[in-house]
Amino acid sequence: MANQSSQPSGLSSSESGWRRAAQAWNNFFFKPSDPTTLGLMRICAGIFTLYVHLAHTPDLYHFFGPKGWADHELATALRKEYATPHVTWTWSDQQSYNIVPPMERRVRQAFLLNWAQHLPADPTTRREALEYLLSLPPNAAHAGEGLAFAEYLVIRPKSETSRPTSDNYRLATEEERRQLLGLLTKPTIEPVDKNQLPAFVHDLTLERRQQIASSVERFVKTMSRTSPGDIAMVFLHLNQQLTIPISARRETDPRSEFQRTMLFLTGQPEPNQPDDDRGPFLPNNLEERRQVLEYITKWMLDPRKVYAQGQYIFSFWFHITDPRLMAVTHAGVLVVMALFALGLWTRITSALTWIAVLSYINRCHQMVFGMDTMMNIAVFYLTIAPSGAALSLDRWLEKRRALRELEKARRDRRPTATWEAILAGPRPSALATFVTRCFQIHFCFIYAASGLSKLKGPAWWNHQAIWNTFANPEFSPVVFEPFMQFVILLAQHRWLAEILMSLGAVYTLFLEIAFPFLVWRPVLRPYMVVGGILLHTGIALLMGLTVFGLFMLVLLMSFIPPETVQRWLELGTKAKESKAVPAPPARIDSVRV
Amino acid sequence: MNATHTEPMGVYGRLALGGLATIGIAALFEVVGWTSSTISAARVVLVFFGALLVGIALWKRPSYIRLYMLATAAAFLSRFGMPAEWDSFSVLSGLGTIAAAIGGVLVALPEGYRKLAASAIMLFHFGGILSAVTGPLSPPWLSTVAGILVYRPYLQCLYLTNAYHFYSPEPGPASQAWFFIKYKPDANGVTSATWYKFPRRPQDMTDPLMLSYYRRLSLTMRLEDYIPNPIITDQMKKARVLAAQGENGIPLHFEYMPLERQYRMPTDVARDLILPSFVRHVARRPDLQHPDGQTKIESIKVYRVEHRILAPTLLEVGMRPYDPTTYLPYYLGEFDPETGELLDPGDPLLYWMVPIIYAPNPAKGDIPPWHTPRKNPDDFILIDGVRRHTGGSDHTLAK
Repeated sequence: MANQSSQPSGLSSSESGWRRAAQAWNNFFFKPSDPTTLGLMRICAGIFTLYVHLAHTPDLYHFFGPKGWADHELATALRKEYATPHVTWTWSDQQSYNIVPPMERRVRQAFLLNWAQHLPADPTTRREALEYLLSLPPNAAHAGEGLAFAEYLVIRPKSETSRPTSDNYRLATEEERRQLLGLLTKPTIEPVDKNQLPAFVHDLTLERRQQIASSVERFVKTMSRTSPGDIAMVFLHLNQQLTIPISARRETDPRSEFQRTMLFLTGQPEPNQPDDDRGPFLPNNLEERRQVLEYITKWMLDPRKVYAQGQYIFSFWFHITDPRLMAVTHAGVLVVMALFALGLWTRITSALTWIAVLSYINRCHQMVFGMDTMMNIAVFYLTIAPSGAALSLDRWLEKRRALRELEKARRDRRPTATWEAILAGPRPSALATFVTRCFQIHFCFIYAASGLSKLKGPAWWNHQAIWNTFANPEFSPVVFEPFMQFVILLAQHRWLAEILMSLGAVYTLFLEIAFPFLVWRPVLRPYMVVGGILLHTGIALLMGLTVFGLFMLVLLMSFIPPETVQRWLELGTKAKESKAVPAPPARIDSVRV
Repeated sequence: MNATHTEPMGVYGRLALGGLATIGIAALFEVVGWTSSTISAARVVLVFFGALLVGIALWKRPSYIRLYMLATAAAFLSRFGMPAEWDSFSVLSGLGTIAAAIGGVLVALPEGYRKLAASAIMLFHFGGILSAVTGPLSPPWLSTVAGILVYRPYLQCLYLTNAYHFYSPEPGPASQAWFFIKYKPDANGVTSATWYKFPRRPQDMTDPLMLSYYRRLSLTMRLEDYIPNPIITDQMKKARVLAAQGENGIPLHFEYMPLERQYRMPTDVARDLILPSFVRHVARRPDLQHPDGQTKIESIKVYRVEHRILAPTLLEVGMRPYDPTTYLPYYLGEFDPETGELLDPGDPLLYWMVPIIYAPNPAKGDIPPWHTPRKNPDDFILIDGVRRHTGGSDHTLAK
């Protein structure tokens, strides 16, 4: 991209506007800059990353071992089977769900694996077997009575307080079943028998009642391979589904979850309706059915309805499970991270550090919190950046070699410019600018998302949020007596507490929301950066999230110009000289577009 | 950004070719079909060193296009070089392939186009971040579509899925997890039990910055997600009220009314995946086995215990953050220690609060309303629902 400052003759004003915008973009993202800030960020991020992983050492097996908190079974399930639902292109949820299975896993197992799996493979026979359920009246109360009648034909509670477990139910005897069915097929239903039969059959003809008796017998036969407790759970689920309506959009759509389930169990794809989004239905092939039902049991979604299964994650801890090998690998990782912090072979050790960081995170996602997110961001960008080009052993080795070569060149009277340039300071690089900008923009995303999302919470509006953070007995240092006394002091002086809480809440909201806008103004940047430092120091001290705060400070460092860093590190002479080289990444040129 | 080099690669070219060949040897085992644990380990080592050699060559000569081509081939080949059981590394192999190919294209492009391409990549990257930060709760449809159809592999692979909604909508209480471990009868027919609670300060603070403690707090946070509006039938409420009756009934918490406020059903993932895994882990911990080393664990009851944040007004009247009544236990069920399966999904107390509360001491008659348990301890008795629920086991002696 051209780096022209004057408008070439013959360009229209819009062309010139585009050119100026392109130039501003080029200056902003690609103007070569000194990588010293990135070097400092690498040192800090490297040390903190090393600390984080060193802290894993006593818990290595509990967090990352095959029998850890997230054991191999859980980790594999989340990695390989995790369900990503389809994108719905209409307003209906029918595209996502063909069945809403029971909430409880045990009930799901009973309903899907122990009952639905054993329904007849042949669709016509299956439909006949479930005809009783299909013919239940649409009224939920009447249908519920119908279900209760069928349930009583199959199982009986051992006592009045029985709950749906196999221990508390028994199968109804043949005699009990015949007796109850006999009531249904009596020529006339006596008033005394009515309370044992569903209301909707009371006024039916004998012939119709005989049909119902026949269909309910076929239905209860489907449960012959199901245990009494599981049968109770099947009925429990069907009963619950009766009460959950669905807003149907078309005549053929189910009107309740019960109807949706029945459609799933009995429906068949129609060749003339390839776009029927109500399916797919229960597979006729028993092996395919088993796979589908097992997936639904685990993930609550039909695998044929999900967009994708599994996650794009990797970790060596998924595969290294031997405790000794784990210890050796962990030690190797710590060495690599130490080298990264020192800046030795940084291009290699940064990439290895990043792979290691992700491996720990991905293996036990359950122990991860915001700090790990920030650590990953820091290491990710530092892997791309020339973070070893300054304040590193790589740089020290490069300078030592350059000195040697310079002396040799002088002795041999060869050109020395190359070696002198290396010794003059870290090479300015467009990549350093580009990655620094990425750091800065990402940081603004973090602050904006964090600040704006807080606006949803009443506690941020009434300023109680700050109290909730530093009086939190598990997070904050209230476990330490002096801090506890401070909190009690606040509680005893409302005005003091209210003022502090209001200041804290307003300060947090203002900084997080305003930062992404104001930090780009050079005159305001130092105030914003100092504001951020204060915020994260406060978070570290008052909420105990020290390492999180430290990583946020690392990201915040990306706004510090390299010459400031050099000044801090007493490399003043180099900093003065570097003023001749292009502008540092953190300093934004004032651009008019 | 460096100038492009297309001339011969010299020693680093040979290094990269060596790396590619090393990975190729590992892949050859796949083709030949030789499998054993030793060969698998050798293949992993070969791929690692092969990738390292290619990486060193690229590091030393970052502007050589041919090196990027070799790196792309090496990354692609490493997918087959890794043994099948290291399947997660196919993701890393894919990432490496794409990264090396993009690197090669960027190096090959003239400077202006290179900047354009880098800008496009950056815009794509931050588009992904935008879809992630707008993702939680009720995301815009466009975010969902972009997140699922476009950015899912990218963001998952780089672990950039966080929405950064810290302390949003507002900071809430943290939780502990309490495990009541009941052993089978031992050789003498005696049944016993023990408790395991985490996280606990200072026991779980094994590093100066307390990271180990916060890690454990993160684990318990996974059990905090609950279904916002679960179906609570009249039958369920009736069963809960019935459980409160009698001398050893599990009381209801008078501060959390109506009754629905005392019911917290965890989300599917928490209930069906995470909790069983936690149970299996606790059941396997050597430090939680029966002292005789033989007796097996019969079952494990789990409670998620919300630790209330005391309002200033409660602190002012003398209540303290670690008072027993600041813990709000929710019963998550009794589990099989081997499988982590819930033993009784019909348990009437399942997902209900099992409170620890102060109640007026009946022996004291009428108690003035301004009396508090802290200032007038004799006027009150502590009713510990958890102790009653576990048959009188004293959980304050927990490990």
